[in-house]
Amino acid sequence: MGAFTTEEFERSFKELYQPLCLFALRFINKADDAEDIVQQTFADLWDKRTGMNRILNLKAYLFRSVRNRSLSVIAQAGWTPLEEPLTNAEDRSLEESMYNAERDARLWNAIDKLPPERKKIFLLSKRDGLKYQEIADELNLSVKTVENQISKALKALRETTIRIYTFFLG
Amino acid sequence: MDEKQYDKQEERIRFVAKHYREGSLNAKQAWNRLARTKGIRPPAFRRRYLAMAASFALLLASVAAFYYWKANTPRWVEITAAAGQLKEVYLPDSTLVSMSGGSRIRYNAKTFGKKGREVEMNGKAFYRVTRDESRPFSIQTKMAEVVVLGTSFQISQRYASIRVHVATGKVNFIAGEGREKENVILTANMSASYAMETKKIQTLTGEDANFLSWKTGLLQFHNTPLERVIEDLNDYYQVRVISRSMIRGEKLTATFNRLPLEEILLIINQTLDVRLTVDKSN
Repeated sequence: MGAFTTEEFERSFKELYQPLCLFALRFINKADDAEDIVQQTFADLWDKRTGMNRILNLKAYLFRSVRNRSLSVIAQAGWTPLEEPLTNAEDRSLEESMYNAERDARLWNAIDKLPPERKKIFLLSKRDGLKYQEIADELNLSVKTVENQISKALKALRETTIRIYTFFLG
Repeated sequence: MDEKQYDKQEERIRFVAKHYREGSLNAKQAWNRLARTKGIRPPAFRRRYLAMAASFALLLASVAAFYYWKANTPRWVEITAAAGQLKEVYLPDSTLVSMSGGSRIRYNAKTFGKKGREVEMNGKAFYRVTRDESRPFSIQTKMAEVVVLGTSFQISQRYASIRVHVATGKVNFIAGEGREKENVILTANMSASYAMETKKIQTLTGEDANFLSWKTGLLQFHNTPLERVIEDLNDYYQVRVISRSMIRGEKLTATFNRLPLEEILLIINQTLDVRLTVDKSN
């Protein structure tokens, strides 16, 4: 037995793929690049598995690897790091980073589960930065409807995080 | 939740929304890609699960096979006539079978009347077959097979020979085994016999008046050689009649209606001046 079992490896991949991608997106601006980094991190780990001692905290190991790889990709490409990488003190510790990345993954999945119309309006606003009036014009809706849909979307997203807080405190 | 936390959350939502694309960050797809390139097999527990599923499927298959086998296993209905007794039975297709003492017939209740009507027999029996051309009636004996549509006929099977006598209609008499199989079509009043020894079918026409005597109780002889009379008596009374005198071509013409054997022997002995008696040695 090497650093981990095949089951552990697969389970970690499936559980941590999204959080790790979102974590990488804190350093790199493109989702495709983030996915490549995470994929490559797992691939390397798999290749090295037999020569390694058993990894006790596979999750921490993976987050560290993704961070290092992201930083080296930035350095190699000569990209300028994002303006304020890891600005908050909370994000500095790996523990916090992991927790926040998992929370981001939950938000991602909550967006994924929004009803199509609401999701579209929400993304036009929060991702594409359109004003409510612009969205209303674009989709031939009233501003009121747009507001309504966005507030419902935000409510759904906040509920996911509230549940996490509750869980975290309780 | 204080204001700072609230802002923080708004920041997170904006961050995730900014990168969100439909179908992106699909862990399952990404895993499949990795597993493919690295040749990672499903983990052992899932392989064990698959093995379990496979053995369960195998179990199901065997249960199904068992029930299939069971459904196709014959359910034999067997009818036996006690020694010295005439027995008449109707088969499910209303064919009448008159069985002589010690005879036995059987059929598979699961298949009888489905495609055909198959009966196996042993001994001697007279059949009055209900006509049904779509379901041929056939009788299997150790040596021969008799196939009919609708008719009445008799089959008597002895140790090494079989005889079929047709009363009405038409039957196909097939005898022998493998390549040596022979067949003959018999019509009313024809009889045929097959012996293991000769492996040949012998056809006889209209000479056996007593083939049904076991059923009718009537024994008729018309200028019949004494040897043949003895044969018929043996057959009817299921005994062994022997002659203590030399047989010199005596012929008998007589009709006996349900007479005791001793009386018949007495009449024959007196009429033909012979000494017939029942062999009680065995």
